[in-house]
Amino acid sequence: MRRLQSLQLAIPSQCAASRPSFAAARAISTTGPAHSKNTEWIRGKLWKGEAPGPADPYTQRMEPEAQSNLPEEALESRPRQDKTPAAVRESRLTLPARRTEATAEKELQSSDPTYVPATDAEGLEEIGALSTWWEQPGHWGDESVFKGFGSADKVVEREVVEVHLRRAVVEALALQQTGAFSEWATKKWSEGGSRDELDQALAVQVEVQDGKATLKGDASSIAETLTSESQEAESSTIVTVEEAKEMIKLWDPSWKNIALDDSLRFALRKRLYQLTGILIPDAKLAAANTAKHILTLAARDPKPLKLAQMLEKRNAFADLANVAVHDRKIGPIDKEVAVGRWKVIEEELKKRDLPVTGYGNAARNKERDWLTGKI
Amino acid sequence: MTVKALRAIADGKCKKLDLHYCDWAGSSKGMNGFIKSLLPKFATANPQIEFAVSPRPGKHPVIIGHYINGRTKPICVRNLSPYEILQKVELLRDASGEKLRRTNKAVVSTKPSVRGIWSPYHGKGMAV
Amino acid sequence: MKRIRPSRWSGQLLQARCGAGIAAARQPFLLAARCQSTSSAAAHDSTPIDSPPPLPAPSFARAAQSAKLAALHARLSLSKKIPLQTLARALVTPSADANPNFNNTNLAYLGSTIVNYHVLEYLVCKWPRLPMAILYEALRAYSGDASLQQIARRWGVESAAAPGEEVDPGLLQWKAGEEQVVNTRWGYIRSDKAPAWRRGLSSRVVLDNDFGDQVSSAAPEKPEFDSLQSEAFGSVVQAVIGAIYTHCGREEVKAFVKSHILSRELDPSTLFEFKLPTRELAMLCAREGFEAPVARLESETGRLSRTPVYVVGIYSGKEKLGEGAGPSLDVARRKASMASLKAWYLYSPGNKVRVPSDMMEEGAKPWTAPYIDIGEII
Repeated sequence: MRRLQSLQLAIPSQCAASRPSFAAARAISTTGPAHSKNTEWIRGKLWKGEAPGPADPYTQRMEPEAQSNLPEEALESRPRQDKTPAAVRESRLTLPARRTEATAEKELQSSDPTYVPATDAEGLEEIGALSTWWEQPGHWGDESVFKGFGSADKVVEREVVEVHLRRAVVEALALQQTGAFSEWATKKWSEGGSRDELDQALAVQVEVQDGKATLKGDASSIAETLTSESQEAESSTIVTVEEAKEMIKLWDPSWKNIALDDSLRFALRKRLYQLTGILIPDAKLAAANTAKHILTLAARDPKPLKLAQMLEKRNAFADLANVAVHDRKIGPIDKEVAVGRWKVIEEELKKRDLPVTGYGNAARNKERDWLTGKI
Repeated sequence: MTVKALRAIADGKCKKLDLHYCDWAGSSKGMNGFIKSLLPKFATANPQIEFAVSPRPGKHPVIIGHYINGRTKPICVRNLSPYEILQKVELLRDASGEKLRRTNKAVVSTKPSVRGIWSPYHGKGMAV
Repeated sequence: MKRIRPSRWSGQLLQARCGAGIAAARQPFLLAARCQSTSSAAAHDSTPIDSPPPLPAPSFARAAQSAKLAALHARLSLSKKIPLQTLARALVTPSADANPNFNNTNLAYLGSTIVNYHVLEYLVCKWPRLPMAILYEALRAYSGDASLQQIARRWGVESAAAPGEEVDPGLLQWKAGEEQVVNTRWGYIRSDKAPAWRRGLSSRVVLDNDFGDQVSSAAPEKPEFDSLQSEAFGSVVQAVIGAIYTHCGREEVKAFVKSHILSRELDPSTLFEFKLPTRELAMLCAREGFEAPVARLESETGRLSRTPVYVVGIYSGKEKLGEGAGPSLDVARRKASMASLKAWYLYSPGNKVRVPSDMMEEGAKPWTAPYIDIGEII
């Protein structure tokens, strides 16, 4: 630490010594004035008479051309251009302040004669380094975290997807019946995270005749809840697979034959994305003509089980004491732990202040294999 | 002085079999099938062998036999069917763990010969 | 006059208690409340410990999960009556866990007595004329630590690199290098006052350990790694035999000893070393009432060459006792005497000799006394 301080102290003085300022560098020229006298005759020969320009062009600097035709008031009142991008200027995030310069001490003394310069940092506000800006409270909270339109937790089970699709169909039809569909098709519908809203939507019967669907029930109240602005962000409705299966049994399967036009298709896709987090790709959506197609596109088979999970589920080796099934790779550390050597290795590594990460890149002990006759 | 061993253990010399598989790779398809369908029966029939089933992601499936004499025998069983793998496992189970060598004597025995070694000083001798 | 400072007293008391606690913890007796086995964990409830120190050996609760242990159980064809936990305990040596409630000391002692008994009765019945020194060596060849280590290795017993709680219970828990906390050597200790020359062979029958080795009461010098290792491996075999006796009884353990220890081949003729074979043979003939032994040259070749060979036979009257060949007449005579002595000592009633423990079986045939020799030649 002491060394670091001394380094910091040393740097400015070194800089001053070894790197002279720009103007100073310019003043020094490799061709001195005495030297330039010797070149006067060749200049005369070249230009055939009086040579234009200074004798040594390197030692002289051009005068800045600060000429303007504008009146003085205009020049003074021209504001400094703010080059901050508009996105940053209008951001809702609390951004670090721009760098500002304090008034110089001399100027302050002229304006405020009672000014006394501070001698220590007591009473000053502590602002951390710029690197820790986002860790400080109030700079990056829950309000700043991105919230997508779609549900964050994706629904995987087919039955649950079907329940949500039914709800979406009912809601879209309810909006159509109340006449608010054209207005609300592109807007964000109320999230409806609570179980009550789900039950309300599912309580309505859907009757499909030749692809045309009609709702039997309280469509207006559904439309009302959809269009109302309820900003409570609840967790998405939890429908277990068993519940979903029970619900599906109660419905007449003909509701899935409802014919979809473009606007309805779009509304269903949007709502399904909002409820389940499943986004149907555009290219595939165009081919979906009924709700059944949409369900086929949205529902996916669950991931196949890993072998270890499957063996555990089947209880294949439960009564075999001589079989050990591991669900993850047995690495070198696991092997050392099993024979008890790892605690010794760990202790020795810690004693030497080395990272406890196993063997690292060291190869196996070949010599021991030679001695024991393994190779 | 210690005695010479007269007989080996009746159940053979393989004490442990490591079975490694990969969940993803196609070369492990047969191995996964073997572990699911044939291994329970095989392990029941051979309780004297310790079986350790563990995944080795991104690698070909391997069976490693560990023997009483401290040696190991690994066999790669990529792209083999479960019944082919069963043959390999039986091979490992029945192996002694020794290095393979050619035997050109019918009998190998630690006992001295019953007839005894020929001696030039006994019998009637040979007239030269 | 000094002032009394009661505040210091409490400090001293605390310190004393603290030290006493540490000293007590070192004793294996108090560790017995470790609740490792099936007994309930009630003892610890009153004084909760934040982080209990790791156990010196794997807990027996993990024994049922160990595939290695189950395979070893099956490999030895042990009865179902012997639980895996007992087998796990047989693998914990006192060098890993000094607590006799959790190591194999007791089982190993029980097993060693059983093994030594069966081997000794077999040796005595099969070779009734073996001298005591040879008998001890033959016993050691069958049931000594080095032989038992070979057996344990053939069983597939592997040792852990360092014993500890996290180690697989199917591995042998032992470590070398530290002084033996528990004395695992058993035998009668001779008093120090007796002079060394009194340690004769006859006294070894009563004193000393099973193999006729002296057991000293003083701390022995640091043993070699190899001997410690063979002791640890040997204790596994002994402990397994003790466990079989405990759980299954006498007959099972006899069959086990017969198939694993007595089945090994030993040629006792390699154990002999004679100093004065000719004199010993003469004394034997005198004792037994034979005619005095006479050495006769039977054949010879190359007497004047660099490699002569003489074949000498020892005769007692008309009976030939033995024959030997050697590069000189004297060597040939000695070899012939050794052969005749071995022929006497290695008399055996046959391979189907009955031992006393056979009588313990139900429905055993009536006992016929085995041949009993009057003793070795003095």
